[in-house]
Amino acid sequence: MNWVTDPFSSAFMQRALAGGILVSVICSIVGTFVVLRGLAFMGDALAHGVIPGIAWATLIDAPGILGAGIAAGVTIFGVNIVTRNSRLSSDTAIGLLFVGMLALGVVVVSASDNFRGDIVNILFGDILGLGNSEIWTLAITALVVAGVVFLFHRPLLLLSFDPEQARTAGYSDKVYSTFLLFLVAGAIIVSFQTVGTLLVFAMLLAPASTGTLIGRRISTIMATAIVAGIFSAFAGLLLSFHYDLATSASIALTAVSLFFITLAASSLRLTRKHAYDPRQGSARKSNYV
Amino acid sequence: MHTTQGRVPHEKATMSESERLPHPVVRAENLTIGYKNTSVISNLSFELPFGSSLALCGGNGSGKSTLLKTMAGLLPPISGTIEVLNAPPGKQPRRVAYVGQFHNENQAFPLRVKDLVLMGRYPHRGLLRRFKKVDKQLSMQALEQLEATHLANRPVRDLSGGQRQRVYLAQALTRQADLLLFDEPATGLDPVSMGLYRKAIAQTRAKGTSIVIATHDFKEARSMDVAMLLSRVLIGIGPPATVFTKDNLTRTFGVSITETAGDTSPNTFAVETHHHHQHHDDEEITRPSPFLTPPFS
Repeated sequence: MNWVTDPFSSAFMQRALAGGILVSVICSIVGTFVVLRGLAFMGDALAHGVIPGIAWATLIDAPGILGAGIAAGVTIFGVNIVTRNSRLSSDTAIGLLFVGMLALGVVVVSASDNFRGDIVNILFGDILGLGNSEIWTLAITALVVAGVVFLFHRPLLLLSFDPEQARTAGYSDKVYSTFLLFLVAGAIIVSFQTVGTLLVFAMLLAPASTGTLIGRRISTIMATAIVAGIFSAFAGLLLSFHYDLATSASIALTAVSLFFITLAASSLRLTRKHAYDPRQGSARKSNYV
Repeated sequence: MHTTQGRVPHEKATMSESERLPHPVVRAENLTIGYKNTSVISNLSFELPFGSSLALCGGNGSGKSTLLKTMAGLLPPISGTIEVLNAPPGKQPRRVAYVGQFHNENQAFPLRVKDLVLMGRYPHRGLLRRFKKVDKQLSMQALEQLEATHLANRPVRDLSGGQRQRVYLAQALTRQADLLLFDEPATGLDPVSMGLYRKAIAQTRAKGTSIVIATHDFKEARSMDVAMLLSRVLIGIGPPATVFTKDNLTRTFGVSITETAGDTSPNTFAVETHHHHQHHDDEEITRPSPFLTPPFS
């Protein structure tokens, strides 16, 4: 008996692992920019904003991804409209769309009699019930996301660092901000079937945050985030298998725990560095020159 | 062409920048600038010859930063026309470098100093082309110019305000632009860095690069080819000696100030009277600016 490999002897667990890994890769890449650009609240709003779309799609037997896409578009558009036409700050606009869309989702679900527990699947995903087509969708999305982020890494980097610098370097901050929002929306839309709309947000934030603690450059942050995400998917699946725990919640919890463990370790290391490293002192003194 | 002779004709070799590029570096006509529905300066018209340096002077809220941002393409003009290097502002990122007064950069952003300076070369390399040796040489050279080489591997977020300012100036120099737009670039610089900054500006000017600097340092302003006095209107533009007249300074700052002879310190002006000669809607302007020293007895 092997504690680590045996659980993955069945096909549904293999698909779950493949799905979890692909979701981790997509969310870690996009999540790096979510963390660096400070889009956490927008990401949260998008994750909840897709719910009415999915519910509506389920009602009319349309693909959930289609409904989620439409609802994500409405959320982004709505936030833009509110910030542009009022004196309200963007976090207020995001909050309004967030609760509005969430409430609409619940209303849509409650209006129908035949919603047979799908709401739980929307919120928490169904990673153990993934089909091959869903795995393929995730794989293609992961490739597209990686390619697009590689292609536009310079403007995205400048935009996340300082939108003014992006503009003086010839990259429109409006175009690339919107582009980044659609990347976030895309990651959420393809991932919700795997980990659910509530927990996809954990995969967007937690691995990228862990990476930010460790890396000093974008490339290392993203690489660390991907490793942390994949580890979370793997460990979460194992824990859920052996101890009969909710699967996607186990993955999300592993990802978040990993962040806090890294945080504790890095603050320990920092304290020691400040106490013993003589270079820190001399570096501070030389500030003047 | 004279290429058969095997050498470039003498006249051509000695042609100055302005002769080869007859267009002014900045040309504004009936330009009104400002934010959304609030105009800051109206009907501004001027031409800055290629290769020359311009000092923008005026109190807080006088429109210096607004004009610089408009030149950088960060702020669309409300009306009128402005051309920078013979094109609308912001269309030639390789040829223009801008360092703003405030850096609203993401403080938590993980970036090493040398990578930040190298970002100055982004417009030259586009989306994907790899950095060449020359890019890295230019950024190391710029860091050396501002004596910030020892910071190269430090994270930007760990730097002090003055160090950060030096790094931003290095980034701007790395771009090898034809026009530098600096908004109060000496802010936060210690005396040593100030000297390095002045030297870097002098070297850049000697290369024929055009410079526009918003500054409160009148000693710096007087060293430029052209000075512009602003007070939400154009008070005067021309050679510094003809612009910084007692009358113009009074109109700009609302207080009468005179130059103190023989004083070589940066504070070369003294307040004469505190009468407000002109109405200003901006309260900030009527207060004596920090560079004004008390009257000398």
